Amino acid sequence: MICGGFMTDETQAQFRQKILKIKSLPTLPAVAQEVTQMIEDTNVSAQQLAYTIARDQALAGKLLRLVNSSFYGFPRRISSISNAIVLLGFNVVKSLLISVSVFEMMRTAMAGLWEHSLGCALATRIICRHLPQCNAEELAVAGLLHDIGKVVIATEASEAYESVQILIRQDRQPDHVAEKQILGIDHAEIGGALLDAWNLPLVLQHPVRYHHHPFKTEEHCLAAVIVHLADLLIRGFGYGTGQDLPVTFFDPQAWKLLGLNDEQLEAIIGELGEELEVLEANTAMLEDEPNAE
Amino acid sequence: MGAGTELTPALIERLARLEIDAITVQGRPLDTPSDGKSLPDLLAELDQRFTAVRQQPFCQKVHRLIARELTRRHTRA
Repeated sequence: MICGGFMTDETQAQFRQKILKIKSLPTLPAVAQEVTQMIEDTNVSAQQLAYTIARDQALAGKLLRLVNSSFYGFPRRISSISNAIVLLGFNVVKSLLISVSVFEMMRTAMAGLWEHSLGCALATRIICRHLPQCNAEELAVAGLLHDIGKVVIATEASEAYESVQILIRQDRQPDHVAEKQILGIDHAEIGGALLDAWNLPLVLQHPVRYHHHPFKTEEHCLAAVIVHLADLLIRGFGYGTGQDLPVTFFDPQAWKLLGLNDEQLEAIIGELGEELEVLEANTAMLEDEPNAE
Repeated sequence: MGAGTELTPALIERLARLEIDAITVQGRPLDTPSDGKSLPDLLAELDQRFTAVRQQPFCQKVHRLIARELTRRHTRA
């Protein structure tokens, strides 16, 4: 299958086909999928949503833990799912559900991926604070999911995944370039396909699919640019993945599109540094509770 | 100690008083911006992460600002 770490053209084509087939992609928990669809219905009530989420006790518990963690930093303790929905709104709860659903996938696939992704979500949210026209909560989910395609590569092509890691470390190739070279497809494209399979909206799909090439989307270019910058910043800090994910090409046009100035960049990096310190203390926020028995 | 117990300075002091010189910590190490490293080490790692984008002025600006932030945090700690 793999010759000297590289797939043959034929194998690359087969891999691509297999990956892009919905059947081989990981799925969201049934309750998360149901909630995502329910939220599209304007007649759905907070009570109906809370009832649906509560059916998956493990998911509901993790959601409450994330809501009450410093990552979200809500000023008062939120003790029930219905309270969370009333206080935070449908879309934030949907984002939280997706976040807790991908946690296990990321933790098992690649060391540091969850932390890097959480850091990217934080950076996305901080950038959005300086761009009032942006939906910070929605884009934070795109930041969280931007590297989800790596989960698929690590689980569906583990041998090739190792070759990708070698190419990144030894030849200092950007991760998406190394993946393309070995697999014929990169994590961004796979991530976009995954979000499409999960029926998530284009405003999430595009920043994930194009976070290395934000000008390939016209429709959600600003969202893609924000995740492009967030990824640069979190790679710069080395949060989660340390030296394993070096800083890669940043499109200078992306900074121009944001319309921010040097003082704002300084403020964003200062805020990110401060908030990463708080996040560091809470990296185990979704770990299973220690067994009290 | 129970699982999930936080290793606070007070607890470490108590362990020292009990003459316990080693404990097993479960979990996975995480790369964080501070990680108990010296400032020159942190800045050297930062330089290394930005090696591929040395020619890009915007990335160099980001590098400078992160270096300043790491220095500030380290000095405060």
